[in-house]
Amino acid sequence: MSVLDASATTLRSEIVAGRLSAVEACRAALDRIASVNGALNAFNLVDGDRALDRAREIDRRRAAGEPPGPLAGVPIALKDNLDVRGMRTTASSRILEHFVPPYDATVVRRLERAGAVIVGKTNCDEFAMGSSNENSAFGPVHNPWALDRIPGGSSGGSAAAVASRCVPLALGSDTGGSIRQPAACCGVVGLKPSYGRVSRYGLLAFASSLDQIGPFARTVADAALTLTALAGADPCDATTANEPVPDFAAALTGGVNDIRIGVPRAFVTEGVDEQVRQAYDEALDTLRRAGATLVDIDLPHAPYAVPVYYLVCTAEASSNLARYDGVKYGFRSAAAKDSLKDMYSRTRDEGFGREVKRRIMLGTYVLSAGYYDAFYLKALQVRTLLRRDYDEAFERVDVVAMPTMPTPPFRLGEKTDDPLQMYLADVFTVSANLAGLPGISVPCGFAKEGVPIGFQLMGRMFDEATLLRVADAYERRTDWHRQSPPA
Amino acid sequence: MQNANPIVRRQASYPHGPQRQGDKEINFSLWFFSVASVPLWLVIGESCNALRMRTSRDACGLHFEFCILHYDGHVPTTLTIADVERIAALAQLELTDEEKHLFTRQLADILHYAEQVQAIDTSGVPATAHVNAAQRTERDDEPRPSLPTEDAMANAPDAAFAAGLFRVPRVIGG
Repeated sequence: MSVLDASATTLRSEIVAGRLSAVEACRAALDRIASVNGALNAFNLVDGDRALDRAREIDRRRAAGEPPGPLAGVPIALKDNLDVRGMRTTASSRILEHFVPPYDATVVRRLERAGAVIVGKTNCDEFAMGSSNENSAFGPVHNPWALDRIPGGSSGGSAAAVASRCVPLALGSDTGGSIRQPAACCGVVGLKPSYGRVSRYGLLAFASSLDQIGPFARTVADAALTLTALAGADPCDATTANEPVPDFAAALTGGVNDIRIGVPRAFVTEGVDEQVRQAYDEALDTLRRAGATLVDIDLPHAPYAVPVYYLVCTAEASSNLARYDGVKYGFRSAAAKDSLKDMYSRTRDEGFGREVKRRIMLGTYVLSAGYYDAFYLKALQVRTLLRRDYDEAFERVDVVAMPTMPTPPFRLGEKTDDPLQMYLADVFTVSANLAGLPGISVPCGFAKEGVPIGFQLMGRMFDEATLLRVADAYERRTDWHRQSPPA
Repeated sequence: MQNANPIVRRQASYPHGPQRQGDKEINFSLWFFSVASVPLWLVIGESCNALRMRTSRDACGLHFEFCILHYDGHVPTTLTIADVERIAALAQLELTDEEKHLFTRQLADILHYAEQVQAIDTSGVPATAHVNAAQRTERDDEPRPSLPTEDAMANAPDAAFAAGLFRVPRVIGG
């Protein structure tokens, strides 16, 4: 058994106790990445020298008797849309292929303060736009459980890195499911915190009212440990909330006797794969047998979440991505030297991939005169109705349960020609972003093809403690999270 | 491929802005022999059902044109290549012909799917642009350390570092 089979919590206590050095843990991670990344394409960049320097610093701190930090010596990978000073951030896009950030994201500062060792940047859909990781300018990530299948998106590299035991922890970003959905596809835990829980400073903006950073881990306890390190108000991100940050790991009692779980039966029927529905029902039954009460709820506007999401996120993206124009940073087309306007449009055409252009186009359309009211404004109104559905549900229940994805992970290439079909894969995840709620995906079984299936729980805004407690209680009663993909 | 059923964009100069997509026109005219002096626009009602009347005087006297606009909340989302070109220009994107054809079809599909939100009754419902909108976000307006100029310019494709300027192609003329 390799040190990398251990959870972050275990790894940290081994390092703090002196039974393992941070350098040994770091070398194990770097070796593992070197052996599997050729097949998975999960990493855009690995910075072994920097990581080993940090690991030596952790070992020095421990030897000197300094407090080592709650993530001391734990190797972690970051989605390649998070800035680390001096380490390339590409967002898996040609337009940022050589961009070296001049500052650290707040989450990077917090992770390093907690003692975590950043090993590199993971592949993702370009600018986090996608549900399959096939929109990367550097090629798709492959699912560690079945190399011909998608790892999920957009944080596919982070999910695959954790599933394949390269690192016990990774960070992703979740705008419409981009942490939870790849976590489901790769059989790991993925947590999207409440909007405002974690600072977005240093995260490349896609849709600013929806984006949120969160952890991938192999256990709920590790996700809780990481969230505690990441969470809290930040003067550099005015949308962070002034909410107290509890010790989330301490909330994991294993008990769910007091928990009422909302089950939106009517919503979880149409278009849901039979194997997914069965795994979902079994997960609910496990929690019921553990003492939780299942309560039928109605979310009448949930079926509109996907169209609302794609109207809102593309509108915000078209505005956010206007900054990539070949002037201040990033790629500039060599073809255009005649006029500024020509330079802008050629740079953007050559620098952006097809899905990014499609979303910029859609967002520009729904914000343009004559369509704004009928599409964008209407979507924001339906977003209010959706939030009200959840507000009403959370008067009666503590968490809401859904599948994470309507199908098991599909084959690479299966949906690339039909963006609308791809968008429908987000049917169960986009609601949490539109309503600002925390959501988590935990492994709950396998499809007959040998690929994982995820179970999703959503909680009240800023009540990650309850959400994590229920997810952990489920995990304690199952062993899906202990399965490893084939070497 | 060209979309089979392009709708005609009507960019008439209606008095309260562009005509809404989805407005259906019913036109009729009446002639009055009188001596009204100036042409004028009249708009009766708004948004859902509007009666637009235009009067003009010519040799025959006063000419009233009526246009009843009926809006049923449904916006047709058939797109033309010209629409896609117009959006691309707004978004500063230079698209290839292949991309124009592809996006014409795909964006129409997506918009057609998204049309379902238009059937929901949202009268009196406020918009949610942001879930934490009520939160206080002010801070003291005090100078703080910020990114040094040389760091901020380090990634520029073409910069005059000593002058602290980004170099760009000609903006005016050419």
